[in-house]
Amino acid sequence: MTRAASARPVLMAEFSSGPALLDGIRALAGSGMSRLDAFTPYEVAGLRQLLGVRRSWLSWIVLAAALAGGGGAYLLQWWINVVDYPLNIGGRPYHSAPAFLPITFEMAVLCASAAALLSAIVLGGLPRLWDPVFEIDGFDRATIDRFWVAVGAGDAALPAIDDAQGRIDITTALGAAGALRVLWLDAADRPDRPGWRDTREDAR
Amino acid sequence: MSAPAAIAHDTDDVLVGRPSDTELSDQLLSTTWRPMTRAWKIGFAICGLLTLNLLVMVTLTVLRGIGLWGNNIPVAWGFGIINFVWWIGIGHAGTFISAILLLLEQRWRTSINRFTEGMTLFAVMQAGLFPLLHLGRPWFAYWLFPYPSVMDTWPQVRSALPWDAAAVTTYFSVSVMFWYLGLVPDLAALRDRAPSRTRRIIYGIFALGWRGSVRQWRHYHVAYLLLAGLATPLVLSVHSIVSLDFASTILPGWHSTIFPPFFVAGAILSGFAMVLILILPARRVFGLYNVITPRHLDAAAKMLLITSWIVAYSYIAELFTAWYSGDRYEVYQQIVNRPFGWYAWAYWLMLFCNCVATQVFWSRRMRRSPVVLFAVSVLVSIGMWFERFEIIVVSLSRDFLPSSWYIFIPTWVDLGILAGTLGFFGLLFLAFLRVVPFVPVTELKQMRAEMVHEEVRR
Amino acid sequence: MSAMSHDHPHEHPGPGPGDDDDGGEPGGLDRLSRRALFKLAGAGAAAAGLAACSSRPAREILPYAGQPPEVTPGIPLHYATALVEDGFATGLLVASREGRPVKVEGNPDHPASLGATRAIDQAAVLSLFDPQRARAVTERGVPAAWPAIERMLADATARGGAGLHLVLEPTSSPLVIELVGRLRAALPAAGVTFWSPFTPRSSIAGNRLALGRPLQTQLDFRAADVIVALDADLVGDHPMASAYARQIADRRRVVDGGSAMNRLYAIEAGYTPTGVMADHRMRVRGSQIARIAAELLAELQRGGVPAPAAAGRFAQLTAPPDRARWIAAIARDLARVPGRSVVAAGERQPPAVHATVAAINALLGNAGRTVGYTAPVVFEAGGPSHDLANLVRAIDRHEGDGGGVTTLLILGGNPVYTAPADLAVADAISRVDRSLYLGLYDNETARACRFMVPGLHELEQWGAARAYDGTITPLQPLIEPLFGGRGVADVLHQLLGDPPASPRDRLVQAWPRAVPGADLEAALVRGAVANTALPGVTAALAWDTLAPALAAAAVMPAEPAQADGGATLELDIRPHPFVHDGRYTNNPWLLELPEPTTKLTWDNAAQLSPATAARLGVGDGDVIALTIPGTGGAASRTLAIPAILVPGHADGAITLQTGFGRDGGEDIARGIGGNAFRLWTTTAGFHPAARAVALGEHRALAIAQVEASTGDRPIVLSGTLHALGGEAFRDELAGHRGAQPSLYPAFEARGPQWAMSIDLTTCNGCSACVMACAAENNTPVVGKRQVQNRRQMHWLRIDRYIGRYPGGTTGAGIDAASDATAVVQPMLCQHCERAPCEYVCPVEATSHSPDGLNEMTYNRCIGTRFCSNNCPYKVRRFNWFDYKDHRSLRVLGKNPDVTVRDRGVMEKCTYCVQRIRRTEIDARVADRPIGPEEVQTACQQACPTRAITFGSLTDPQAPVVEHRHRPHSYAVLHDQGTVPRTQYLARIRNPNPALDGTADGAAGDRHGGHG
Repeated sequence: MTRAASARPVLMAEFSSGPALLDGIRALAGSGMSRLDAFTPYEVAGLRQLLGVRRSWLSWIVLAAALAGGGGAYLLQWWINVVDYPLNIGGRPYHSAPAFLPITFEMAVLCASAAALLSAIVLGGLPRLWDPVFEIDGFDRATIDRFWVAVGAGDAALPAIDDAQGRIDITTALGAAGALRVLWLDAADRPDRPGWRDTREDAR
Repeated sequence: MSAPAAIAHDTDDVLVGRPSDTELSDQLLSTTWRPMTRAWKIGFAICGLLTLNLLVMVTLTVLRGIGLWGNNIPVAWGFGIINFVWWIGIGHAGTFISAILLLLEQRWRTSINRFTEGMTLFAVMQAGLFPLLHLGRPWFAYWLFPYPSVMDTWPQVRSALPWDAAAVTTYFSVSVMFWYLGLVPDLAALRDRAPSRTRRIIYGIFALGWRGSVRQWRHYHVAYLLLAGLATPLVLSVHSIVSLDFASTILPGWHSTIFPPFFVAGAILSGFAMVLILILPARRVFGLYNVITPRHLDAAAKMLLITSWIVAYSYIAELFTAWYSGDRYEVYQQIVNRPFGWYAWAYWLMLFCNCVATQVFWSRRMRRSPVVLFAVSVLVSIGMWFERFEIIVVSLSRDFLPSSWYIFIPTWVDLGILAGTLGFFGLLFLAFLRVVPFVPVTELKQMRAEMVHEEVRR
Repeated sequence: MSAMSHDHPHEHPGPGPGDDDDGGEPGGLDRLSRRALFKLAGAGAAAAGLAACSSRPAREILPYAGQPPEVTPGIPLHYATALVEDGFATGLLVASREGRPVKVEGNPDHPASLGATRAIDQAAVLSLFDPQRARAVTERGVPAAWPAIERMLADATARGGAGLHLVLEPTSSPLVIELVGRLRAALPAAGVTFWSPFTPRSSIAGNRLALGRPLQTQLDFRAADVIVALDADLVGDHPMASAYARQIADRRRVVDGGSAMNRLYAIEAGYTPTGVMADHRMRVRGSQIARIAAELLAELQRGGVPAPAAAGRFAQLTAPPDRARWIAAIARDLARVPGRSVVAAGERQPPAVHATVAAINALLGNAGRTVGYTAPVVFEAGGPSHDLANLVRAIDRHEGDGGGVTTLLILGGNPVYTAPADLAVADAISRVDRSLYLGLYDNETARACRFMVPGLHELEQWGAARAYDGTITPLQPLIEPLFGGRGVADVLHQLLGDPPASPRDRLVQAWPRAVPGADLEAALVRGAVANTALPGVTAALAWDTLAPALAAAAVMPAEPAQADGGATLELDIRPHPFVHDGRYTNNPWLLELPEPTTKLTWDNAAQLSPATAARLGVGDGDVIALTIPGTGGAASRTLAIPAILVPGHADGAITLQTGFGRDGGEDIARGIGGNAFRLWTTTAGFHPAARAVALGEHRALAIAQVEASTGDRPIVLSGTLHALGGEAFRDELAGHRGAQPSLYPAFEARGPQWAMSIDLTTCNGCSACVMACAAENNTPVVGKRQVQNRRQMHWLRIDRYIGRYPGGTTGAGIDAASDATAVVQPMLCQHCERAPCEYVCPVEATSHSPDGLNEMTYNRCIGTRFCSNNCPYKVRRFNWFDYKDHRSLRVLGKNPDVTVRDRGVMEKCTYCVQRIRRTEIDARVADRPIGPEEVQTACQQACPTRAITFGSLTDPQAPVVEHRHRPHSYAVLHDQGTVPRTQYLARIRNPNPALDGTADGAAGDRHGGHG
């Protein structure tokens, strides 16, 4: 799955709603395709499970950050007051544990939050201001009201470029599932073949 | 503000009608490029002037010294700290709505959470001004943070002030992160929808190239929930720690163990009041009656009622503990000085605003009347300001040795700075309304989809 | 380089650099000359500072040309000199730093000081460096040249003194007296008048009545068991106040319930420090004192005190019922200790009262024991030459025969302002063609005169004066005259045509004649000439003159104490305790120092009792118009002045303090308060028939303390000596000290553990300590408006609480509020071992030193003021603005050992850490331990009654340790667990059982903590 993520999409289909998208994906899965990815304006219930994407493991990073932040903060306070510069402050002991807790807690939260945000961005492959899919005409609606599925290059079940029939079957299957458009992105240089359209033509 | 009544009463839903993704997107994204209304412009001008005034007052204070304020010995803390606590408290409702209600899966928070998060950020900004300004030597404020200095000097972490510094900075940073993470998909939507190329480029940069791929959603979802989970204890901790500025001392009227929960409740009370003060006009100006429905108002009003009762309970508890402790200073402070001292009027005003006025919300009609909501919210905001006045000024003005008892009278600089922060807050807020969709489009669309899904199942 | 550089150096009579190479002089004077040389450096510094008016003194200090052996930069040197007021000298030691006098201390060898100082003395340095002092000779305000003056004087001399009149301040200086004598001989036609409003007159006249000769009363409290002060502020307003306060206090040092204590009765109108100290205080109008004295005498006679028949008819006199019990009790108390009591009357009282008092003391056998009489110390005191009317008469004669006054020399004082209202001095002067004023300021008198010549401050003078007891006291300058001023002697010498000489040389020449057989240098080193106190005179009562006086008092009607005669009130006028007769009104330290019993700053006000105020319908700050009906055709005079309520003040009377309402050229003094002299006449210090009307206006007063009740909090504990002997009170006291349960481990203490103990029994609130603290620690003055904003910077303040006491105040005990009694409590940083201020500071700017000091690190303070909020004693002070006055001449008087704090920084009492550290260094250098009383804080050193004790708890010899063990030692707010290092000795009273209803004092005590 993860390799597919990096793989250039070969087949893309556009749907008008989440449920339709799910149908389309089922259709593709039916024809044995596994290197699937989807682009949706908002989370579609069941999509992740359908694509077999495991739940994020980002929580562990956050936990680590929290422990590091809190522990670090406490250690620093201890070191300041007990080791580096002990002072008699109102007759309080150098190691005033209760007084160290608030900052410890705050630093834990701060580090954890920062970790959560950053890992969400990094693990999501961001920042990445340009991506091939942006070149696809109409993909801009993926953030508004359109739902896209993509099949990455090298998927075993993907019909080869000259298997016109195989491609037509899949196109029709998707159409039946409610796809508004089906695009074969690798066949740009074969204008004489049926069953695909050159999106870049439309782009012009 | 009774215009929405017609729409308001035909449903009790958090979303009126079932607008399509397209409709919702267009309606809510367009607030950023739709031409500005006259009301907005007037508000912006007024806030701009007040902000200028703030600038002048702050400059004066830094140049001449805080002798320009009304503070004295014994009342060494005055408007500065009152305003600080007040603004911080206001911030709390935002986080409360966006984080806690998210975890509690309260649907009605969805359409107002970004709005209130914005409010949180700007309120905390105002609050952040005061710990700096009220210092005798503001230019050394950074000494509150631990940094390796040649003198080997460090902050004194037994004091509640470094706790404050840590809490407030953390609170602000986390709020920003939470807010931004929630914004990313909407920024992407703006990138793809905004009318002008420049806007698209700018939004595009902030959207980081969000594509809404399942892989991004996968981490995004967890991160957002985690941030909510972290913000929840955080928001409770911040005002608890602020309350320790007082609770950790020996001053009669401050030296109290019930302060942390008491302060948090008060914060949420004042916060919800401010939410309503802001959202009612915005709702009207941008005609958002379908996404901010009577259901939202009703829920907010109930929060006001609940928290005002918690606050009322705290006031009673304060009196009781004072009497029960038998401590002569505490008894004098709580039972003599506050209700009958120099500032008795402030005490009774506070009780009326925070405990009496809110009782109208026992009535469903009142809970849904924008006018009543707005009026009571203003009262509550005033009342909560005076609660801090009671705690800080009134307690200090009469402490242990009667020989040093003295009254505090604010100067025009004090008042000018308070007004200035109100203006600055408004300025930031009005700008915010124009820059990003203040109703979270993505979340709303998702919620709509889920609602449709459920309706289909039924 | 000398101060003269911007005046006329060649004419300057003072010691210039040239005067100092006196190698030929007797070797005895070498050190003297070196010291003079050394002073020059400072003089140059001051002069330069003046000329440059720069903000950087460091640049102005000149390097030592040749460093005198006794001078080490950074080490203060002390020189003995004196301040002279109304002719009486108070011996001082002045600390000089690199040629700048910076701090005044008392001279232990001087009888009027005994090592202590008054607040006024402490502020002398600020007066010296007052930038508003007159700087140059002027004629009608425009700069003039000294030669013009010389010609004028020469002319007057040439005319044999005809038309010449001099007005001097009363003097006891042998040098000036000699000059006046020579002057009278040389210029017989010249007139000489001595004027000062508050120099002793009445007492001397009274003694003439009683003893047949003009004599000055000398009191000795060391053997006095019972003291009755009749309108006499013995510890506040008296030339010997410091010494008397010490003597009285020495008999009131309570160790335990068994201690012996004298008993002090104060019978007075206004509230004075003496009243604060008293065991019994009766508030009566000043005019009643005469009657009371008579009643007392009569009661004594009835009590069997032998009296000659001459007083026979007098013996029937009885006191009105509401005070009969008092008079009887006091009389019995006096009779109980024959020869061991003192009855004293205040200077404001008419001669008859002093005569009666003299009689009482004689009959009690006090005369010659506790009460002595000497010839007056002040030259011609009580004589006709002390009547300012002479001047006016002399001038008025102008119109008549050819005599009159053509040349008027007013040398010092400020007669135009201080003259009795019934004398039109100002326009009299205006009728004189050539008038000259010699003084420190361009004041009212200077403006009335044609010529103004800058005078000399005591710290710029060579000279001599006598203390109240007659002890010869030399004056020596600490610094060259800052503004090239001239002394009174200089002018007199000029008149007599003496050849120019330096003032020091003149002192050297005149000394042997003035004080035969006394070594000048020894005197200068010691600051006083031993055994020069005037000899006591024994004089028998002169009944032929006394009896009529007594008879007069006897027939005078006795008003009931509470009767406030309808519309007419009695007006009592007394000198302000700090600005006196106005001579110190331009000194901001003294203006901002809260008046001991009213706590009023930057103002004077009409003091009246709550009852009287209620009758007039006024409160604090409400302006009333005081009117004195004109006598003998003279117009009536009115003064509008705000009222201030003083619990314990006599009903139907108003007390006004002088020194305010100035309208001379002094910027600070001008326009504050009201001029009491406009209602004052020399005949008596009080006017029986004044009228008061509320004007309906309000003038905000800067009162340093608004809440006067302790609200039963354990702040000022007090009780009677009798109670201290009993369990109940001792147990109550024990509950306010000792260890407190704590969760925190104890900190190991290294080195000495500094601590302070303050005895509330001997503290009378005179406030010398407050001023000393300000002088030592460079605490700024903030001005009236900032005091109204509660931003005073005094590190040490004196809290005044008012309540009910066993004994205490009474005016027949009718009006609770008015009969309330005041107690005072010096409040300063308590240096808590568990300091609440420390743990709330976010930047470690205040922390605890191993030797127990609560330390402020100014450089680290960022000014959160959290520490002040958490200080239960509210002794921390904040620099709300930039209070450093680096551009002012006053900077020269600052203590170089103490940091001048910046804006936005918190500050507070440091236990004078600079003194502690200096002592520690000295001890380490000499490799010896620090003595038990070696470290003295500024407040402790200044305290006339030695109420403050300081030392280390680790030193068993230290008195502070012994104080800690006394049964009445306690910690303020002990219940807060702050463990203060400053503890107090409870206020112990010694009431007369016959007058004190509650035998066990604690019970009746409304101030103690009943915790």
